[in-house]
Amino acid sequence: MANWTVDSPQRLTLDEPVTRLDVRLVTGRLNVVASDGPARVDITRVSRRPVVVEHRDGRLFVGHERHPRWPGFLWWLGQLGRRFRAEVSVAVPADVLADLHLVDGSLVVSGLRRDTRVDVTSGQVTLMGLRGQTMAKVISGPVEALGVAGDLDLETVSGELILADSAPDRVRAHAVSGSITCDLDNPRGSEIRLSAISGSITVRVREDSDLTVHLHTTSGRITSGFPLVGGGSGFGSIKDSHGVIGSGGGKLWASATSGSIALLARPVEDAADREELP
Amino acid sequence: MTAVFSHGRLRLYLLKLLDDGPKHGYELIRLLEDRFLGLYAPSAGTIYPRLQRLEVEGLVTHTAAGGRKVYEITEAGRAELRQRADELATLESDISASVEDLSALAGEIRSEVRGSVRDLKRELREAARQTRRGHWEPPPTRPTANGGPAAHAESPVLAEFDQRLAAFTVEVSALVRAGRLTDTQLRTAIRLLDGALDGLRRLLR
Repeated sequence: MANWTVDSPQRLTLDEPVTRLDVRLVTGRLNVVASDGPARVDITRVSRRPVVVEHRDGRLFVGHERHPRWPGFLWWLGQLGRRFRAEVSVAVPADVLADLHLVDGSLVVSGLRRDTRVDVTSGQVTLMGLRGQTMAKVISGPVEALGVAGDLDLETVSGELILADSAPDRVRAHAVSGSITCDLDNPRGSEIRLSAISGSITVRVREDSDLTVHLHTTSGRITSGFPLVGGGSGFGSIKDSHGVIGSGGGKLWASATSGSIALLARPVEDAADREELP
Repeated sequence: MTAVFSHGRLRLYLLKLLDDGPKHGYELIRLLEDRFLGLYAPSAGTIYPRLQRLEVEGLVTHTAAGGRKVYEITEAGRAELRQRADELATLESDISASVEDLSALAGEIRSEVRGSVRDLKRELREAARQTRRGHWEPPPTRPTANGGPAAHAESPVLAEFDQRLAAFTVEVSALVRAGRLTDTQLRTAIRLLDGALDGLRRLLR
């Protein structure tokens, strides 16, 4: 067991293994990167409230001594938030269970393979190369993800959700006023559920997908790049489109209230092309 | 991040990875990705031409196994590695340094993801526009596979391009067969062609 109270920039290296990572920060930057070597905590900025690092029974905790009870409220007060400003980077083995909370600021996670939970109130979330179960929740701000596989759950109120070049088995994305953009190299039988209230939904799936498709929008329009999925029919402005791509093994469900939906076909290079071309 | 791999250092590192045992291209990409904590994941278009060049130079060989090429280092490749051991050590320490500073690394990850995301949004917006247009007035020919703003098949410029391309092939192969060239000259010519192809790919993608 080890404890540090850090009140100036400092770099810590942990000799004992880490299996769980819990971070509770108020404002600033948080970076979590998977790495082969020993776990490291790199604190590059601290303000008046020191950062506490605890390592006990494989659980690594990074946070403040007395976390404000109503972080969102305190953050709005501004002045108090500034006392908690910190910039922390953590390198941990790829198979840790990570639970990351940040009230305000930017958060980067890369390379984790098991179970990652991200909760940011206001700020931006960047996810790269994650596997396993990933859950990211932001109230205000975007979630940008690249090369993510496994199970993915994304939620934002007033930001955009963008998922680039990813092959997840299951995606659930919900946005209220932002748009959703997904480019999926989806495996067969994947399950994709996208919903937006006032934003639009753009989703591109492999042209050789097996999906049962259901698209619905109350006042937007539907564009489909697949001949078997139509532009939708319904009463007045309501558009509802059902269709099947390939054998229909997986599921794609997208619903937008006032936004439009575009379903596009992603060209698939055959194996030989993939060997030789970028 | 890619700055670490300037001046043929990626080539050297590929040799080093193959020195640990035979691997196929995809494995090499994964290993590089792991070494750079997921940040640097070179595309197949970066790796395969380099492997081909290494093969032309006789430093690696490949065997086809289950439809995939498995690359293996040759004795000449090992000799090259021994000769450039110092350079390799510097490269290793540069790589370690580049992943040492976690917050800089995270900054790179952020800009990498941001860049990809921005490109994707632009590409999909264009694809959606084309799909929508295609929906209302189906074009006589299917758009090209990558859906870019391809010229019409009948365009005179495209015809001229096809003609030039054919003439190029004919003339170059005639030149190569006419003059009795040494292997080195031929290899240089091959490298030149690879370079030109790389440039065109970059231009046209």
